[in-house]
Parts: sequence; C-alpha cells; structure tokens
Amino acid sequence: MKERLEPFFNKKIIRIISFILILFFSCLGTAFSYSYGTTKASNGFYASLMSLDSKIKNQKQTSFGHGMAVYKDGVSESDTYKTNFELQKRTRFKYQNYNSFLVSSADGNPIAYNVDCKVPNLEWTASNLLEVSTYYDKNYMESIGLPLFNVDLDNPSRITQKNGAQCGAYISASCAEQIVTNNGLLEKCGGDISKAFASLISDETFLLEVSSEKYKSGETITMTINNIYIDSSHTELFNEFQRKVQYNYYGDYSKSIDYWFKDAIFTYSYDIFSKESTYFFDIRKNYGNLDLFFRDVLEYDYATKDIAITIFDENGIPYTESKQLNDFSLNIHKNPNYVFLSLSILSFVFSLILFNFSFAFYEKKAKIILSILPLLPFAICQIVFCMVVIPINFVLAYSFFNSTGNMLNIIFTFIFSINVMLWWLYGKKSIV
Amino acid sequence: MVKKVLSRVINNYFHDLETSLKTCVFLIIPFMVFFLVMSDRKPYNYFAFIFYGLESVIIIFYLLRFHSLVLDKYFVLLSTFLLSILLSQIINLSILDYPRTILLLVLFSFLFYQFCLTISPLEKEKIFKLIVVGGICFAFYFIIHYFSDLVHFNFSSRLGRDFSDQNDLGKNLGIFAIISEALVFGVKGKKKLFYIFATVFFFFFLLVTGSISNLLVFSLVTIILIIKSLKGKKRLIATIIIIIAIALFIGVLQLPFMSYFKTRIDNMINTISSTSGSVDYSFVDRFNLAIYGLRLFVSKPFFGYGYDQVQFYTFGKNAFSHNNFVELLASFGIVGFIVFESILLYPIFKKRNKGLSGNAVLFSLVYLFAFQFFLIIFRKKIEYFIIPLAFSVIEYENYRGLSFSIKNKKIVMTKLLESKNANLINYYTIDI
Repeated sequence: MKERLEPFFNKKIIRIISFILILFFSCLGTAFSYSYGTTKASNGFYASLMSLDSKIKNQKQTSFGHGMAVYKDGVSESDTYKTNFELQKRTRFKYQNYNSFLVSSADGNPIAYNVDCKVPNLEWTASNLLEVSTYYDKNYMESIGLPLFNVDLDNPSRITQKNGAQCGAYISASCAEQIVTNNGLLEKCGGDISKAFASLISDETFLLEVSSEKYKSGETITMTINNIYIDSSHTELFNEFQRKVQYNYYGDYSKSIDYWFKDAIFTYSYDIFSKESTYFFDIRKNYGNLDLFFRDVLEYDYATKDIAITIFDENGIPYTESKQLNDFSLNIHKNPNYVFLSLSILSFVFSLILFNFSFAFYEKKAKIILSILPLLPFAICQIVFCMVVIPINFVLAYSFFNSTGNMLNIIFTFIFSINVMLWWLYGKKSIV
Repeated sequence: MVKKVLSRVINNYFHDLETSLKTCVFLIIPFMVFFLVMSDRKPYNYFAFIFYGLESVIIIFYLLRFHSLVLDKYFVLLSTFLLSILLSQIINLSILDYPRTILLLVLFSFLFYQFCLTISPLEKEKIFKLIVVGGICFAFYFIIHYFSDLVHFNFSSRLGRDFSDQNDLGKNLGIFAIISEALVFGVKGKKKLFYIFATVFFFFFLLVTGSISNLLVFSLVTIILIIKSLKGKKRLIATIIIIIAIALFIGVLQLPFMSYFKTRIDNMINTISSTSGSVDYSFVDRFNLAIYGLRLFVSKPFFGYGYDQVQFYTFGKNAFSHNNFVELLASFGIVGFIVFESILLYPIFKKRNKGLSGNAVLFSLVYLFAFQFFLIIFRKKIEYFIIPLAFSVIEYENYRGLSFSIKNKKIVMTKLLESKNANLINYYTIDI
C-alpha cells in the first residue's frame, strides 16, 4: 500500500492539494459543527443568558436581577395559583441564590394594596399589603432573608390564622414596636422589647384589623400576628443563629432589608392571592443564578407550559432578552438539524483519513505544520469569538460560536491530538 | 557549656556570610510552614507574608552575592503559566484583576528553586525535615486552640475552621504526613520512630478536620508509597498489614465516635449506587459545581473566563468548582490547564535523585495531583513550596539553561548546555 502511494504523494502538486484538502475538511467540520449548534434552542437560550448576565453586571446594582412570570390568557386561576405555589416551593432550597415572591396582580404589574391598620393609638396607619405571600412557616421566612424574631427556636410555629382571623401576618419590628408601645405591652414587660415581642406573638387574642380599598372593597380584614421580621433598625434582636445565617448567605444583608422588603406587612391568605396571582422572582447575584433558576425552578421549557417571563433592569425596564428567552424556551425540545451534525462528523473524519494517509510522506518541517493544520480553524474561530464577544454582541457571538460546536471541535481536537501523538511516537520515519 | 555550644553553632552554621545566609533560609522554613497552613485567616496571613518576604529577600541577596540566577525549563513553565493567566485576563477585559497572589507565589517558587539548585542533596533532605518540624509546631498550636474539642473525639464538628478551610487544612496535614512517611523509609535507626510518630500525629489531625477527600487521597498515596518503598518479603508483609489496617479501619468506623465518617461514607455510596435514601450533599454539590465549571469551559475553551470568575457563573460568591482541573479549564482555558498540569506532572515522570528527597517530592506531588479532584490547588501556598523542590531533584539527561550572575560589577550571562556526554558552556558578559 505504502509503496503504491509513495510515487503519488511524492508529487509536489499532490502534497499541496492534500494540505489544502485537510485544511478544507477541517474548516468544513468546524463550520458544520457550529451550524449544528445554532439549530439547538438551548444554545440560543444560553447566549441570551450570557447577554443578560453581561447587562446585569453593567448595572449600578450588579446584583439586581428581577423578573416575573405571567400566564397566557385562558389559564385558569386555580391552575395559575397551583403552578405559582409549586415554583415558590422549589425555591425553598435555593434561598442562597434567589428569592421568589407570589404577588397578587391584576394587570401583570405588582399591586401594593394600601391598607389602613386599625390598632388603637397606632401612629402607623397605612402600609402596603400583599407584596409577599405564601410563606407557610417560620423557617421559610428565614430562607428568604427575613430573619424572624425568635420566640422558640425548638418549636417553630407554623403561620396560620388564629382566633378566627382572616389572615396570618408577619409585621416588621418597627411596626411591632409601635404596637407594643401603644398598647402598653412594652411597659408591662419592664421595657424589655424582646419580651414584649414574644408576648405579642404568643398572644392568641391579639387581632390586627386592616382594610383595603382594592381588596374586598375596603372591608376590614382581621389578622393575627404570626411573627415579627427584624428590620434594619432592630438588628440587635438577631440571635446567634440568625447572625450566622445572615453572614453565610447574605453577607451584610440586614442593611438592605428596608430596601428590598420595605413593606410593613406580609400576609398569608389563599383567598387573596389566588386571584390573578403572578410569580415574581428576584435573582440577586449572577449568571449562575439565572441559569440555576431556569434549570431548577422555572425549567428551560417553561414557555411550553403557557408561562412567559419578563426580566427587568434596576430601573424597572424590561430587558430585550426576555422575549428571546421566551422564544427559545418554546422551542427547547425541538430537534436540532442532524444533517449538520452528520456533515460535521464526516468532514472531520475525511480530514483525519487524509492526514493519516499523507503524514508519513512529508518531511519533518511539513509534518509539524500538518500536525497543527486541522486544529487551525477551531483556534481561529475561538480567537475571533474572544475578539467579538465583548465589543460586538453577546447573543450573536455565543449563538454562533456555541457550546455544542465547541464540544464537537474539542472532541475532534482530542482524537486528532492522540492520533498525532501516536504518529510522532510510533510512526515510521518519513520515507522522503 | 553555653559558650561551647554557641561557638560550635557559629563555627558550623555562621562561619562566613554565605553559610550564615543559607542557615537563615533554613531557619525560616519552619516558620513559613507554620503560617502557610493558616494563611487564609487573619492575622496569620500577615505573618505568612512577612516570613515569605523575608525568605525571598535573603535568597535574592544570597544568589546575587554568591551564586547566579538560572533560567531553565522551570522558569519557562512558570512564565508560560503566568502568561496564560495574563492572556485570559486580557481576553476577558479584566487585566486589573490579575491574581497577585499567584504572581507572588510563582515569584517565590522561582527564587526558592534557585536556592535549591545551590544546595547539596543532603541539605535538600534537611528542608523536608524542617517542613515536618514546622508541621509539628502547627499541630501543637492546633492542640492548644482546640483542646476541649480534641479530647472528646468529636469528628463531626470538623475542627480547623479558625485556621483555614478544613479540606485545605487537611491537604496540608496530609502532605506533612506523606513527607514524614517518606522520611520513615529514608532515615535509619531511632530517627525512624520520630517520623512514625509524626505520621500518626498528622494523620490524627487530618481526621479531626473531617475531610473525607483527604482521608481517601492520603490512604491511597500511603498504600502506593509503602508498596513502592519495600521489596521482596517486606512488601508482602506490608501488603498484608495494609489489608488488616483497612479491615481494622472498617471496624473502627462502627464505633460511636467515628459515626461522622461512617455516615458520610455510607451516604456517598448511597448517592452513587441508589436513587433513594440519604445522599451526601457535599458530594452532589461538588458534582454539580464540576458540571457547571465544565459547561463554562466548553463555552470558552481556549482562554476561559479569567481568574476567580467561576464563582460568579456558578453558585455565587465564594463558590468555586472544588476541582482543580475544572477550575483551571474554566478560568484559564486549555492553555492554562496544560501548563499548570505540566508543572505538576513533569517532575513525577522525570528521573529524580534516588533516596529521601526524590521519594518525598514524588509522593507529595502524587498527593497534590490526586487532590485536584477535590479542591483547587493552583493558588495555594504549599504547592509553590513542593514543586520547586521537586524540579531541583530532577536528574536531566540533557540540561539547558541560561545563568545570570554578577562578577566584577558585570552581569555575566552563561549558556548552560550540559549532557552526560558533553559539557559546553558559553559566556557572555554585560557591563553594569
């Protein structure tokens, strides 16, 4: 075989052609592999996430990532609520990465129900109700970065309305302080605010009456106080456990509690948020959280379940990537174009076969060039990618130079490198 | 009597400037080892910085005054590693975030290597002994700090967090234990007993850190070391002893004070072999982090995302991939990965000095290599201590390099070309 090929490969023109062909097939392989990648919706999804990540990193508040999930028209209220509640539950174990809120909403925008509180002698008279709901137990509140006042750490009480009240509520320590000051509980407890808070929470008869024009047309709602969340002006009430949680998961998060959770009451009532509820999520940190959120909570194919998302910047303006994500999510299960994959593999195989046929017939210098040649297209593509990814466009760069294409090229590079290594180590000397 | 001892010490170790400087370098080593273990925590990191700085300054003075700077393969590898990081930082537009820690560690490593080149094999052995001394000093400090926890044999509390991350601390202790083991086989007579004691001592502290990964790596490297160091009948006896020791360890695992290890190991096995029952969350998280890191690598395979960026693309601040291979690939791409692994593997596959130093570096490096599966090592201190030592004990067949020295107020550049058959040296001089 070798003898038969020898005169053939010794012709200069044939050598040049084989050089060109190897390069040509490698280029084709790389081009087809990237083309195959572009037909996969998951790569588009990834590209949009990277683009979103870069935009979030360019915000003033680099940790701000806020979005909402809405349902297509025609999805029943009870189904919406059930899905929202499920999403809410899934975030439970991911609290170090993101918060999520289930918010009552009439037109896709969050509504803060202004309520009047009817507590005797209370200066604080109005607050926003229902910004956050569905917290069904004390530990859960802690998991979203709201350290609760600790009455009994060993026996945490579940949030539920007591004493015939319509809702169970969490109130801020500032509100609670006003209540215990005005109703004389603080004085009874000898000025000890901890004791006063404990008494307030354990008081089975205390009722907070609130009303809202939008909810039940201003009818008075009665609430029991299930717990008190510690706000920035009461950080001294953090116990050791809470401090640890704060430190481990939120850094100095307590400082921003007022910023994020400025509303004075959080309530629980199925009756309220089962009406046109919207799922809000707060992805505070980085790309990883965005991706984790879509993987673990919303799932990449959320759009196929009649959900559409909108992600906002720090000024509340929706990012353009929201639409892209919705589109890619809708097609996430769509089969990619396997013709490109086959063409890519075939091109790489041709390149490898040609290389193996011709390698032995070249001189040492030419062999070195030949050993690098098939890897050149991939290397050039990567350099181009690195040059265009930041100055031009993340979505475009990541969509075209996608991970699937990279993976195919890496596999080829790996196989080719082993092949070259074997030639250099065990290949017979050049016959030239 | 004191006078006699003093004069003996002065005569032996401080009789001229060169010997005095050398002695100073040796004397600082235990202090460096003592503080390098704790250099992740304040205020120990300041002390570590001072001792590393002091050592570097003395070595520079020692080399300039009496020896030369040699630029050889080690220099090429180290500078290529630094360049690969630089390239990655430039591509990611984060040149200002260039890892200064790595730069300083590489610089120290280069200087320490230069020092090692000037000393005899016996003096190199001394360095290992001094590392063990530094380790023992740290172990005693550990006892003082955690005395009450240690006497209760409470492994589940994972001691050592005040000094460093427990796994990293375990790695340092594991390396000390491996060096002690190598010394057991390298020294003769009663000295053996001291190093056997040191090995057991370090192993105990490794256990109290509760690091399963270190326990696994240490056990494997110890088995290899014992089997490789012994021959004939002794090897057979050692194999039997190892099997008995493993059986004993399984037995000891059933005891109440070892319940922490038993539960972790059971959960790990369960995680792999079953879909139900308890799982080891650390194991699962590590696996997920590695997958995330690999995804990052695939999306930017050539230059990666830059130093310390993995955390911002995975689980958030302070998360890292817990796998050195993955972290290198994701941070600096394939280029940085290949260079760092070459630095680590080159001395393993090259012929080394026979005897104590050769064995100690070999097994320390094997330990470090295996430990890459569990934690990041490329930015830690002990690696940049062991690797230069390892390069200094390589016996090159053909040695090439450039040497720079100052003679008669002139910089003398010498081309070093040494092989077993020829010894060719070219001199170039530059006036200063």
